[in-house]
Amino acid sequence: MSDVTPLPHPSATVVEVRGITRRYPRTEHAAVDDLDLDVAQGEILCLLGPSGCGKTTLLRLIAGFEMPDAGRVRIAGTTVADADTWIEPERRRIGFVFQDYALFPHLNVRQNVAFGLRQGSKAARLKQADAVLDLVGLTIFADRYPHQLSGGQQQRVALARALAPAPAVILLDEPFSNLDAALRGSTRDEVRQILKRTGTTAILVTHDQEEAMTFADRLAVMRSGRLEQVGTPEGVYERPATAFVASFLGRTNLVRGEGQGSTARTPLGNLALARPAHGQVLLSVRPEALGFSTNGTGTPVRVMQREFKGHDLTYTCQLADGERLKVVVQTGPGCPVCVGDVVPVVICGAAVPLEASTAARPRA
Amino acid sequence: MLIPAIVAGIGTLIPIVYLVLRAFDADLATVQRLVLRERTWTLMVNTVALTAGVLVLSTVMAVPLAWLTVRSDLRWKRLITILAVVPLAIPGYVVAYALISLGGTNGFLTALLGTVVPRPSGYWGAVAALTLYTYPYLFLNVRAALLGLDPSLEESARSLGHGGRAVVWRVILPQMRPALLAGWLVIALYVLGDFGVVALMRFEAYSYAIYLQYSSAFDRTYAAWLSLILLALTLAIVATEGRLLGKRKYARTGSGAQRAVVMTRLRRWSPLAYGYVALVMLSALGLPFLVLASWMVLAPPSAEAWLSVLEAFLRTASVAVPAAIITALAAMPIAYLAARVRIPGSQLIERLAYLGYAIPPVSLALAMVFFSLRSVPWLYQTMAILIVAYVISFLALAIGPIRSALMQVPPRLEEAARSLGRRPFVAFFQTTFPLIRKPVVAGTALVLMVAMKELPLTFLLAPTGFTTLSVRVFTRTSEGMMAEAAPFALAIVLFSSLFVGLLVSYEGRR
Amino acid sequence: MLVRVITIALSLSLAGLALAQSLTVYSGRGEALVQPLVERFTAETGIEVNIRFGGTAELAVLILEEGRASPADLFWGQDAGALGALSLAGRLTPLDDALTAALPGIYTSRSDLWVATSGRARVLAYSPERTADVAWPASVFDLTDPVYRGRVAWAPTNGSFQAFVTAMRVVHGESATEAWLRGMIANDVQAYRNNTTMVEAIAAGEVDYAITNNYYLLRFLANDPSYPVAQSFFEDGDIGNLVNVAGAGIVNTSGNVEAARQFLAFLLSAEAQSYFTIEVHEYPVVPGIEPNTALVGFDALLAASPDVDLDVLEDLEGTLELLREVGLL
Repeated sequence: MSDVTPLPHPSATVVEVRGITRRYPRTEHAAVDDLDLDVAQGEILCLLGPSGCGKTTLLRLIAGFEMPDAGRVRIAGTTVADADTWIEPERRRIGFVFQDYALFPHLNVRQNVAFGLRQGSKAARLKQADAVLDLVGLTIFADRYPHQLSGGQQQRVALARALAPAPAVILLDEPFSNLDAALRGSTRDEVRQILKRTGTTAILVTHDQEEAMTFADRLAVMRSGRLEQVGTPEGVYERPATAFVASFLGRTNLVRGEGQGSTARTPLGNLALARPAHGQVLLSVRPEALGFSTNGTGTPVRVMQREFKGHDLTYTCQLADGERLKVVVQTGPGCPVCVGDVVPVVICGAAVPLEASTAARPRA
Repeated sequence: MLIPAIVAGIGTLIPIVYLVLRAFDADLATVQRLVLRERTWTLMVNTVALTAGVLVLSTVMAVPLAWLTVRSDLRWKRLITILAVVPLAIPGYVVAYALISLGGTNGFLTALLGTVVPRPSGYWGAVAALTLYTYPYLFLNVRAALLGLDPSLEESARSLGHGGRAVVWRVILPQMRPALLAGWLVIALYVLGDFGVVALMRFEAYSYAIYLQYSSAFDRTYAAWLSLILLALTLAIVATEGRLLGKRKYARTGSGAQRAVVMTRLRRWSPLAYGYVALVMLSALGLPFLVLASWMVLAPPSAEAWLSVLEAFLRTASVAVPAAIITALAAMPIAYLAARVRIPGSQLIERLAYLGYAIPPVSLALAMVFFSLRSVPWLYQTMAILIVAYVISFLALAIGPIRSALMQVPPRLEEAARSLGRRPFVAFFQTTFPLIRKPVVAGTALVLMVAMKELPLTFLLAPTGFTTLSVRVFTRTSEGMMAEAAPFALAIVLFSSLFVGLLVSYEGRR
Repeated sequence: MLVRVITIALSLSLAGLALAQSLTVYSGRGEALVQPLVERFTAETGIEVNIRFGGTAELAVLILEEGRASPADLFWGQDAGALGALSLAGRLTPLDDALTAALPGIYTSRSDLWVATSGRARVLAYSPERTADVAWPASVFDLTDPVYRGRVAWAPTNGSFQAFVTAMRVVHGESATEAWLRGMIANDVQAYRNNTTMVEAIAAGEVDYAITNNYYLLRFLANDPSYPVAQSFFEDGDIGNLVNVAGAGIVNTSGNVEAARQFLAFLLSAEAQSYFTIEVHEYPVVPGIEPNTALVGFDALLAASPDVDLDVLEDLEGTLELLREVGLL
């Protein structure tokens, strides 16, 4: 992706969520629990989390398909929901792309896209719809009906339909999950480019961490109705705040240690820390930060399993105290280490000290 | 959506409130004497047995017929489908009379076989007559479900090593469950409320006992108690249906297009199949037509008589058509609420609608009399009250198909429309409504057919002097003038058959 | 659509107001029979008549339910039971003597709240061919004799039959009636659904006798004079010759008593009575009507009929209980 991400500016916040809470009857935990979130003009924010974490509920709260039990939502400077205000979804200036697209089966593609256009003559609206179809590259399908299109095409029609009325924000609910793997990547790139080209603010919900990292300007990781961490994909990946974030976003090794300021004592030896820590800490060490040493230094481990992945190799090793470690070696297929070998492991880079999860921490 | 649904729901409460008021007219001792006696129990057992019998027999009739018309290489399937639905339109007493005139010395069967066949009566007579004109409800439901059944489910079951019979039991029947339950529910409620047939067949079910109370003893208190017990029975049946239906999902989960169905070849079974179809058609349609024809032969109607048939027909339509349309309009929000809105009480309103269907018509009519005279006396004995009574009575008929259809339309469509700036009502009419139009039309037509032949509500609530086709049939048969009644009865049946034909061909265009 | 419906409804209710001076009749008697009479009445008096047709019982219950607001001026029913229920509930206005004076005792109610408009006698229909060698039963009680075993038909669910049982209970007592019912059942009496089918059953040779109302056979004979069934009374005064009635009364909440009275008087007039006799094959309730040749004369009927007051026929509940007890209902 070569797009230039516009820097979020405080005055250009398009979506502002404060203390929003949604509780379903007969459930123990709130689906969305006292959550804050800001999305800037032109920004693409990905809400990432396992199924049931409340991310879709959050999206539907912003859209107005659900009513919050507490909290406030502002869209483009207008309060759309708080204790005294309720603005219906149709008046929130949002666009919504559904997981199953929800294209109207009785309307053709052009009519679907024109559905949200209310200004101007009918001819003008259809013309406008055609312009949006052109944007998503579906002009030639304008007269077809949804069931005559492939999944990827339906997806783009859904996007075009949501984009056509130029909403303040587009909300996408797992929009790529119904596509097969081959189509998913390319559709994702196209959608991102269209959003960027039109400078559209977007919130995308997904449980696919790879999708989230490639799509997002900013990533918000959700768990049990709360945000665990918000930041750029790189920032969140490299500096996960909690064990949950660390292991949900790619593979990681969770290592216990004793913090001593800028280093920590661990079964892997003394490790440099990404930020200072004291006392008992849990550290995240990405597999790719580990390597087998060739000069004899490092902590000896026994190799239990070897997975060949083409561009790299993943080893599962066991420490002397029985802890398991995953070690990824970015080499050609020629790494000589085999199952059963005892080899020393060294760390390049810093380990990340983790905080207790917000979801597990009782609130004041 | 909520407000019209609540209004319609409360409408069905009117007769219940009335019955409770009437029931407590009497002092407690009288009530105990009336209600806590063995007869109440006998009636209960009889009613349950009758309902069970009709359900079994109608299943035996409807399910093979539905399968043959959807899944086999039987010929004239469209015609058979139409003919299979027409009995809905035949007034119950005509069917019962037809069955009775089969047996006995002058019976058709006796003439045919040369030996006296006893007249059907009592339990089996009532079961047979009720089955013959209620089985189309089940037929329609099962047929729709079979049409919607994904053949790949059967194929995957076969690929998993199940034989034909196992496929039927483990795949097809479970998929048919909602359709069977929906059909059974309507039939069960019909059986509970019908008194025409049980009276003719002299079978002591609740409805007959209620009828006897009104007709012989003029006792509205005891009749109210019997009606309330009947309603409790109805509630139990509705609740059982709800429980059996459960929270399972029956829609297809995949997103691929559904494949066309391969018709089962009947081969050497086809004579049996044709024979079966012929038997069902003869008993459900042939018999009543034979009876009507024999009445007509007794005294062929004059041209003037036909003119008065036409006039009565137009008059009947002038009330049945608006009633059907209003019923469908009222059914939509209720079905919507039941299918879509998960708030406490949304299902309750739908259940209330089923109660309306099972309230004995005489009780419902008297309730309307009671309330309209006390609250809107200027509406008493106007079309408006009659139509309200029709709506309360037939709401459940229209709700069924609309709700099933709504369950198959994803709610996302309306949310999409709202995210594109439509108000909820507009969103519904621009997205969901076009997709449920057929079931709405089907529900409307069903109500229209039933309203055309309705009797007790009509003659108690219609404006004085307003005689519909069914009232004309009744006022002649009650004086033993069968021949004079025949053209009017025939008009009901023919008109409704025409309607069924239109309906089925409309459904065919998918 | 709704607007249209409301408009129709309003216009109809306004039409109802405009016709306030006309007469509203709730009729349990059938349209085909009533309509010609009403047309003559209107032609003679200029009084418009609105008729609500329906089941006799349901219409009576309707008047009870309507209470003071009832639009009905006159109730015309098929049987004494419904009229009795209305009298018991105090819903009928006493009739003046002028109206009832001409009627014999079997045709008036004690309270003078309603009158019979026509009579239907219970008779024994029979096959002349197959009963020539059997002595004619003197009384309906004789039908339990083994000579009639399996040869007699009745219709236990029929209202006229039930009224007859009511009369029997009053005149002969509960136990005698129960004994007769059980005796008939033991004698293999054949149960039919209604009077018409019983007459057909005699013609078809299924049974030889039927206890029925007088006019059903006459309708068959009118179409086919050679119909192989005949009918006759039991001995004079036998309960089996009970005269059932159709009758009418003026509703106590009527605002149109005078017109209702005129209509009632018209129903008792020679013109209407002759219509019932000739066209409907029922018995006139007043003397001096040209007789239907197929019916016995007025005086002969009075002689044959048992002396049973109409009020006796009003209560059916005990009869229904008894019929259930012996297993007929």
